[in-house]
Amino acid sequence: MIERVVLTVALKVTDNEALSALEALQTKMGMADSIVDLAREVQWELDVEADSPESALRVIARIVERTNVFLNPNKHRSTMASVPHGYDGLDDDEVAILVTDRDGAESMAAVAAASRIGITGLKKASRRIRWRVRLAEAPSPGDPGLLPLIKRIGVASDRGTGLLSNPHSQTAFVAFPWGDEKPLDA
Amino acid sequence: MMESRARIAVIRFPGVNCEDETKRAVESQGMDCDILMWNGPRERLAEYDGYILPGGFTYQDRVRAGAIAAKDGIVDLLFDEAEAGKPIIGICNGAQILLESGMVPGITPGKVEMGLARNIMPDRDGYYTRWTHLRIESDTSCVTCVMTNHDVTSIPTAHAEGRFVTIDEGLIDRLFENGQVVMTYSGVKGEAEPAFPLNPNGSTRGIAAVSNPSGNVVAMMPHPERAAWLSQVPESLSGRWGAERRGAAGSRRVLTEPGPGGEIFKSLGAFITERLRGRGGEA
Amino acid sequence: MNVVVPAPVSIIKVLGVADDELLPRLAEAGLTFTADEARRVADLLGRDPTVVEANIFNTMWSEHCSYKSSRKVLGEYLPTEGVGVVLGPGEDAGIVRLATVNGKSYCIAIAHESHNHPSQVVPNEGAATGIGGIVRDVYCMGADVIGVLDPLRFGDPTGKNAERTKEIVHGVVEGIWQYGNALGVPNLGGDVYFDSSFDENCLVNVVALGLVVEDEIIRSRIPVEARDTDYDVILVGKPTDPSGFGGATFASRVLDEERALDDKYAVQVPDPFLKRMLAVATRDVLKLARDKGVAIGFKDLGAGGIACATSELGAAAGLGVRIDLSKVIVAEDDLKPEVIACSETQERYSFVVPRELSPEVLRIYNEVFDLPEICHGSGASVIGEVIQEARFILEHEGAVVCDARTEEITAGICYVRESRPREFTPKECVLPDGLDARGVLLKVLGAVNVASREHIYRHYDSEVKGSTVVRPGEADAGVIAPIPGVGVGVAVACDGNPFYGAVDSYQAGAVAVAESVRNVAAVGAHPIALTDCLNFGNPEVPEVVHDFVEAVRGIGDAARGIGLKDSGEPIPVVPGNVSFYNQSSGGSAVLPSPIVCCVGRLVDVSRHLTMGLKAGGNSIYLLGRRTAKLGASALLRTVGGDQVAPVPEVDFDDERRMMVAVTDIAESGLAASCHDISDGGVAVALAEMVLSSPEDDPVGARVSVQRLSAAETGASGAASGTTHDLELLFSEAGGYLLEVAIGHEERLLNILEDRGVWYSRIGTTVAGGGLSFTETADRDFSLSAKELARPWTDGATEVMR
Repeated sequence: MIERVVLTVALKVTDNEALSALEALQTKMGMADSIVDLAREVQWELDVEADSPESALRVIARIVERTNVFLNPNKHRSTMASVPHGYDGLDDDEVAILVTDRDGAESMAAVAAASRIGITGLKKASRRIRWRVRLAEAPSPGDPGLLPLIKRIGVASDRGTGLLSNPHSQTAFVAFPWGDEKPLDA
Repeated sequence: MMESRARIAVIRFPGVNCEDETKRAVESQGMDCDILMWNGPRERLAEYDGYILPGGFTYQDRVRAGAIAAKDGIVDLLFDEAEAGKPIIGICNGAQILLESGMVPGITPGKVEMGLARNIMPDRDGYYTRWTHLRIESDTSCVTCVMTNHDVTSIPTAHAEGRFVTIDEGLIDRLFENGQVVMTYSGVKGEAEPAFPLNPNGSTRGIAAVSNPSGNVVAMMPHPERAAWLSQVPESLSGRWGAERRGAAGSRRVLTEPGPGGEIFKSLGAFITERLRGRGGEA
Repeated sequence: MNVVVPAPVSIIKVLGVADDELLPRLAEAGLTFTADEARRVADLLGRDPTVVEANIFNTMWSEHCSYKSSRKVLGEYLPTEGVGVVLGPGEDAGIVRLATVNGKSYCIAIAHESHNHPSQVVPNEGAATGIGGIVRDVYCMGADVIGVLDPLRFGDPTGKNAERTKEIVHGVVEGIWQYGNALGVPNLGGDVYFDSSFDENCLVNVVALGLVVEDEIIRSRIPVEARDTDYDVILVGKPTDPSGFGGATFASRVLDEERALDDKYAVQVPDPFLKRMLAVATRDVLKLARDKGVAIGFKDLGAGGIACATSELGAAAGLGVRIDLSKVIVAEDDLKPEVIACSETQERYSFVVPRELSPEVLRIYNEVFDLPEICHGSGASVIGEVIQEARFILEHEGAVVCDARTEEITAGICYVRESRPREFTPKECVLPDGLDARGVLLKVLGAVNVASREHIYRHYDSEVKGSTVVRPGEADAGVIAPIPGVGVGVAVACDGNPFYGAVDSYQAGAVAVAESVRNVAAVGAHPIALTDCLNFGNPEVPEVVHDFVEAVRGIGDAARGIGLKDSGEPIPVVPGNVSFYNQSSGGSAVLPSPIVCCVGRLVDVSRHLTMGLKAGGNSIYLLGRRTAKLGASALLRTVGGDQVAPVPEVDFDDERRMMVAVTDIAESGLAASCHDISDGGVAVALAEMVLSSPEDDPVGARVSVQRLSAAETGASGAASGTTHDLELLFSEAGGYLLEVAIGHEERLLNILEDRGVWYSRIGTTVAGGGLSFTETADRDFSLSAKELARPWTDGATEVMR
């Protein structure tokens, strides 16, 4: 049986990339009134052959413990979930924008490295970025301005608009704290 | 006016790192060149005849290469100058800025119609550096107008995100038909659509450089400023330029004679001269 | 002078405290002092130290900063002076003269360091901050960085630590390209070796070269003008955070990887983007000072942070500084004063400038380059002033937290460590029976320590700045023409075969010099300077100390024995670095690893040589006798099991004669290509020359094995048949191979005879590629270019992926 595990990895140290993106959104793109903070996480979507979700989690825990293919504990912290959603762990005033490369998101190297140390359960590893955007006003499902705002943050569509993904090379989703996910089209 | 030298501005965005050698390469082709700060006085910018966005790592390629610089205010001014027909060349990171800001391919000006995605290479990832052979696909752009279609030249590439991609259906065909594909990676004799490493990044149909419809704005991944003199050409390079380089070994010509990148900058000068002459004619 | 320390300032009670009470107290305060060292601090001060003072001395007296175990040895054996030396060891980088052009004396600034421990723990950031640190050392001399090199040593990629080793290789290479490429300095070379002794301690050495005009050199000291004029101390760069607090002491102890770094500031965060901006903005600041005709001091912040940099600026001038730590731009509130004083936050410099210049300096960084906006609160601020009394005073929120004589802070301490030779005698090696030379060559070519490094160097930008003439992989050394419009070339190469270290440390030091000199000469350049980085185990182990001393002696003897081409004076070893404690807590130390970098000058860079064969019908000459000593050779490691046999001894006179002749030949334009002989001997060198010829016009070689030997001086008389052939083909004794057009042979021979070089015409080049050997003891054999290419191209790729 194939079980899905999502491993979320964030830097313990200063994330310069998130800081630069936040500065660009706030100052260059004039969104200082809407966006308060930005954090970046790498999420690994991992397909594991296992009897149960619990044993799949154990397989990944072993890989994390014995290799640094997904993270280095000296500079990263991580969490694992077996029923993953893009909205897991979001605060009420956050949304998540999930960005995946259209090609090359899958890591053969990670699978190969796991099998070299004798862990064969990992079948597929795919990487995406989860940007956690903290908004000035907590998002609400009924707000008609919300999705346009997210697109202005998340999808580069024309000069001055959209930063976190380029629709030609990447796909993007938004996840809301109330448990909803939507694709973000250009 | 005909005698006056063309004046080129190389734009120093934060994090670019090829501005000095780009300036030297421009000057070697008889043009004047200044390096302008991205946040400098705006009125100065309009004084120049052409612009180069040099290579480097603007904002350290954070988020995506070129993505943050594309939002800098100076890009608005460059849009205006491009509209007026002045040449703008984006080299490597500069190309990434031009795509991210929707200046290239510019079928709908300002709309982001393409991306420069991460390289896809067999058994490796990240940054990749290599001299490539390039076939000229359009000899009217501001970087190729002294060359002839299907000429083969050799210029080095060095990047991690250089794969031209689009999800707009039919766009690639249209770019070829419009003459907006300026150069493609090729075999040493111009063989089309070669595999890695001749195509160093997996770019769609081997595209290495794309222009706007008028050909005055060009986004190119190869670095012509690293091929401006023969001394910069590797002795073991295949093709015409390698043979030229070996033929000059041991003589001062190595240092003084232009390399393949020289023709790119020569084209820029010729493009400007032609444009000014055209305007002179109108006046 | 007795200063009464104000009440709120924490002190560490040392005086009159017994060891059993003192040691836990020091440990609790995070200090790695011995009890004696702590007492020496109190004696110097005449009172108990404050916590800030204790931290400063703790850092300044660490092995990393004070060279307390090595200083005496280095001074005793290494030649550091010469007519071309502008600045020897002692400041951040050494400086030698390159050429005078239009009345301007251009110089090369060089620095060479290790960043071993951090790279083992966090490979990407460790290697990146290694480059970050070394380029700061060169920038702060007022130089523009024109190249970097990375000698790397990794664990056994097929051994018990294989997986971790591969992660480290990948992380280190990624860190190097992510930092170096973004910074915009060309990577000009380096070398890579794999051995199980590096399983738990990889070595990441870094070299940076800079170009500076002699009268524009900035010293790391307060200028004498500060005796009459008010001078400010300015700090510029990243906001200070606690990262790397205690880093110098981290590098000065045995690595215990189990103690994972859980503190978020334990990892130094590199920021090449900010570094690039600082480099460009600093050019404007230095120009401003030159235009105004004022003297300034400039120093990078490395180990020991603000305290180390500013105290050294003062001590070098016999002046003092008063710093207000409250004025330092910090990344977070409530940092303790000892953290602000000693943290090793990356990407920072300090300046001392005349007070009237300060506003303009701040404007360049903070407004023209807009650092606070584009780089997260970074920027420049005035943090203190120069004082006439030679005291180092730190204040924090109105209280004095450090007050000591400047030179007491910087004087450091010195130990003479016990030394004892390893008990071991290498034995003559025996090659197994039944080897065939053709199969052995393919095997050696594909050996992980011989095969092509292309997979790694294609990650590196070697062409940024536009001055690169020879890239990694094209010749034995990287070559640049760093002065625009001028034909002077600079060649540079790094070497240090760690397997020599396993056998004979003296020879390891000597051969590192000889090999780096050969590499530079093989492109046609005269050596002008050497640097060294000495990577060893724990200096509290007497055998380690013995190996260290022997290696330094070998380097010194080789530098003197080979000498500068024109004058014969010693090749100066301008800066150097010592890295001890490359030893795991389990007790195993790295192979003694002296790594040497040689810088050479080409008067006319258009006369440089590369290693790819150029045309069929040319003659191939061997320079340098082969020997039967196969210790440390790629051949022995590939087919000889674990034998530890004697290594070829470096003959300094021969090396000198060959260097002189080869550079004469290059300058006269008599050779078409040249390659030195190192790992894998003549056989591998020839294969590399064949494989480096143009793809669309390949050139091969046909070589007589018999001619590799000379009747009177051939390899071991005892051996015969295939063994004798293998010795000739794979001996790693120093030498060169030259490709020479027939019309040039007479003049070539004149030079070789004049210079007294042992040589032999061993064969010819052939159009079409491939390599064939004739006049063999057993059976002649040949290999196509394709057959040669496969093992050489793929041999190390899997490991480096």
